[in-house]
Amino acid sequence: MKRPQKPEEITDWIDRYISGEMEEEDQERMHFEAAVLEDYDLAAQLEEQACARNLLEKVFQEERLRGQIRAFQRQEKRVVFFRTIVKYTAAACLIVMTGLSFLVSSMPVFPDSENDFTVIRGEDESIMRPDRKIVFDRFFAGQAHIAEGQYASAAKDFEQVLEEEDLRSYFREAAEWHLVVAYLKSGSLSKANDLYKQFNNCTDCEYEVSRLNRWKIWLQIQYSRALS
Amino acid sequence: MNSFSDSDIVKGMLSEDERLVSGALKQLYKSCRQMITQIVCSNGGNVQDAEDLVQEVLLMFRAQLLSGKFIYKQEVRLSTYIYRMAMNQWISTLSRRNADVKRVAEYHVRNEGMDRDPSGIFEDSEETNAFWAIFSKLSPLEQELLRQYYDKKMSLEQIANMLDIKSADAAKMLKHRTMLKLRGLIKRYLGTI
Repeated sequence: MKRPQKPEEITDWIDRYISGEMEEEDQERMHFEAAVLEDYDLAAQLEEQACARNLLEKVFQEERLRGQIRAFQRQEKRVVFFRTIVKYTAAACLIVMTGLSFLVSSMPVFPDSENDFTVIRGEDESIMRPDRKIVFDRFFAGQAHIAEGQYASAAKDFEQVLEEEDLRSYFREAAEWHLVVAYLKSGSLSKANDLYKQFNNCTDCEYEVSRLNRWKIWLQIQYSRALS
Repeated sequence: MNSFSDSDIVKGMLSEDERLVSGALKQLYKSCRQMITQIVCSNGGNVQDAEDLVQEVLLMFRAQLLSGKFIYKQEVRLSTYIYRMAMNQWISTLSRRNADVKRVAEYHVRNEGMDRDPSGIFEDSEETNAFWAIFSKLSPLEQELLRQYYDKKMSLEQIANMLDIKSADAAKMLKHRTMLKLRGLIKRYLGTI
């Protein structure tokens, strides 16, 4: 068996021996070991190479272990991130659900609905014509019926108010909004929806219902329609 | 449920089987991560510092196990030992940082352009740190070549393709020269071969 001559081949030869690639009874192994015994330089090279391999083994092993620990840390961060997302999503859902249930269950509030004198603004009640007075009385009766939960009666009241042709826009709109609610609560959902749509793109409305209350009404109509 | 006892962890860490080492390491990581994070975060550090310290402490613990500096005794819990190690290591990190603040300007003037001296590291630190310091003296290409050949067990032809080396023969020559360089560095910094 020929001994390698080139330095890089000798390095490979030593490497194969260190890596255990030469079998116990292998001719090459016996040849290598005999060469080590004879050649001091080769023995020194073997020792140096073994030491270098030991260093590499430790460095790479530590690199692998460090990589594993980093993987544990990344995995844990992902779990924490996922948990945080779940937590915040649950909180957001809860808030949204609470908000929606508030919007769906609470009554819409109209401007000055407690005592809506603004609807008869500029009219002196003492000199008001009796037929005009009846219209206003109907309006207040409708409000009272809504407050008492008698929505069908309220709807009738507001329908009668709206039969009057000579109404200021402000008063007409007020009556229509109240009628939407009366329809909604009395179960006439399509009527409520049709009437509500009139206000959807209204740019010159005088009776201003807040955005929140508009949402409330819209949501309640959709919710009731979905349930029915 | 903790299925590993302290002695299982020690056995696993000392094992030749990488899967057992990995399992033991994971268990040890789980049991001490929170404790180390608490030490760091309640003593002027942040989560990143804690992550670094976890890595250092676990690797140091394994090095101590392998070198025989730590001998497992049933009456001493591993977590207690790890706690002390982490505490000491964190204190020395903090004092090094404080010292660094004072000395940093002076140091930069004195050592500008100079490299890290592995022999100095070897005097006051673990063996693996010195090994790392020696290994880091190799160029990135040389490091990668050795890593792919000795650790990933890739052939010289594959390495030549991967690292954009002309041919397998050129890779073989580079490997030979790199090993000679490494042997020279070991002689220079560790003295004995």
